[in-house]
Amino acid sequence: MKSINEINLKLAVLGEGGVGKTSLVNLYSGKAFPTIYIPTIGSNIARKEYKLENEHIRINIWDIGGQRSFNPLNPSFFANIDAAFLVFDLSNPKESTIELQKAYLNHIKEKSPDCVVIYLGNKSDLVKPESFGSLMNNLNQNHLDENPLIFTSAKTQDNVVEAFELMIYKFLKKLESGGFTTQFKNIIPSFLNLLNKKEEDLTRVLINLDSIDSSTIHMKISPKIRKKVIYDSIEDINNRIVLETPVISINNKLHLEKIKTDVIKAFNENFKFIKDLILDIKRTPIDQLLKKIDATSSDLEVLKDDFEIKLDTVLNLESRLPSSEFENDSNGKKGGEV
Amino acid sequence: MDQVNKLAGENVELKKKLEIDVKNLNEKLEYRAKKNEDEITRETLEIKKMLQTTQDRIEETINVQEEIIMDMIKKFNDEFYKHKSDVLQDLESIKNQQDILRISYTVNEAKLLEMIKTVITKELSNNIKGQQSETLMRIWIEEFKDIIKKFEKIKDLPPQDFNARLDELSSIVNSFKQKIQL
Repeated sequence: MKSINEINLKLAVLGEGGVGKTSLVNLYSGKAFPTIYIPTIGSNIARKEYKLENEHIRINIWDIGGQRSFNPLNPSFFANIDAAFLVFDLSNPKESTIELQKAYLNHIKEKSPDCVVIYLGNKSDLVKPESFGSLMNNLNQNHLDENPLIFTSAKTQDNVVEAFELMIYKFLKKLESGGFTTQFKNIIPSFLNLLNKKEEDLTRVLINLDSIDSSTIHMKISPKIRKKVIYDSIEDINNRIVLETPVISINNKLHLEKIKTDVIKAFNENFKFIKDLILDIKRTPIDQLLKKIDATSSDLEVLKDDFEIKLDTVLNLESRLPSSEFENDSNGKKGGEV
Repeated sequence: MDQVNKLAGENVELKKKLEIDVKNLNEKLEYRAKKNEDEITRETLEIKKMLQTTQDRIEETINVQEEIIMDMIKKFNDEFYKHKSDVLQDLESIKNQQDILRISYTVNEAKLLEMIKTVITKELSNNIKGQQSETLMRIWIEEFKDIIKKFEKIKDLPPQDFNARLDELSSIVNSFKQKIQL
């Protein structure tokens, strides 16, 4: 029986709340684009696997909620990361890019110095032509050239899958140059072959801030969006309307129920991940065992904190849910953010 | 010369007299020895006879004592078997009563447990009505803390127990995964 090398990639998707991290992860992992904005409670884990001829590449995507109340800068989130997307909102880049530089990138450098980092400027569909100038200024001022940069739109699906594929490609490159050449011989050609792409196809999405300015930035953004934003059903149009009003009412019982269901669902989805995390130890080579146990232990601690955050949130939501006697009055007369 | 002859004659006389005396003495000694021997033989026989008599008496006493003891033992055994039989009968009776008690206890215990279970289930379902998810989540978090503790100790395990522990932890996670599926 042919032995298959297992490659686990821990990919963290980090950034401020509301920049579109979950939408990016959902799109990549085959889930639908959300119809309403629901903040990620704690962290959610998605998985994707690429089965090459001699290797299985398993991507464990940790989507870390960016809301301050869930402590996204908890140092344990940044331990043992192989790769990280630092996501910011292109339609409001100023604050989110400063935060990325100051907090997230520094934490990554400290806790996972070998991590492959890519900046994702998301929501490219919302950038208006008149803001190109200020966008360029912000990007240049905040020195985002330290790591590769890609513009994405989870809504129009622009460059999302490509960004993830490029990340994996860069990780494999690093793996190959890290002394594992013999073990993972031909892994990059196999991966490219599986994608049916060439290296240039993957790197094409990268933004070179040196060769782009406010007069040429539209070439990286506008044409693709116009091509893809097509609302072809009443449901899509309705979704579009909801998307443009991301704040939800805490008095709307249906929304609260939806959030609660989503949190419980996310809670349950982490079980399989925990089981695999524990059983992965068995497949670890003996020389990497202690390191792997430490990393797994750290991940389990993060997941424990995450379970607690999710439970607290569910209990909190439960207390906010209107009791049945007020159900008829719970149509969002008093608005508020969750 | 006469003197010599006289002395020689006297000497012969004395010699004869001495021989006669020696002879008499020997005869006396023999007689006495024989007499002594007879006496010793007689005394020996008497002692033997006395010993035999004493031995016979002792044997007889021993036999009598033995018979007495055997009688006592027989009597004791008879009494013991009688008591034993009585005790066994009592034990059998106690055992029967115990069995009846046990069956009755088991039946009552089952009934009681069923009642307790019903009451607890009812109370629990009343208390967690609408909050089953939260309760399961809370229980899981406690269990998960325990899993993490066990996982942290995995480095101390000998290699042969390593996989078994990982399987055990994974199966706990799996069983909770199934319980908590909502």
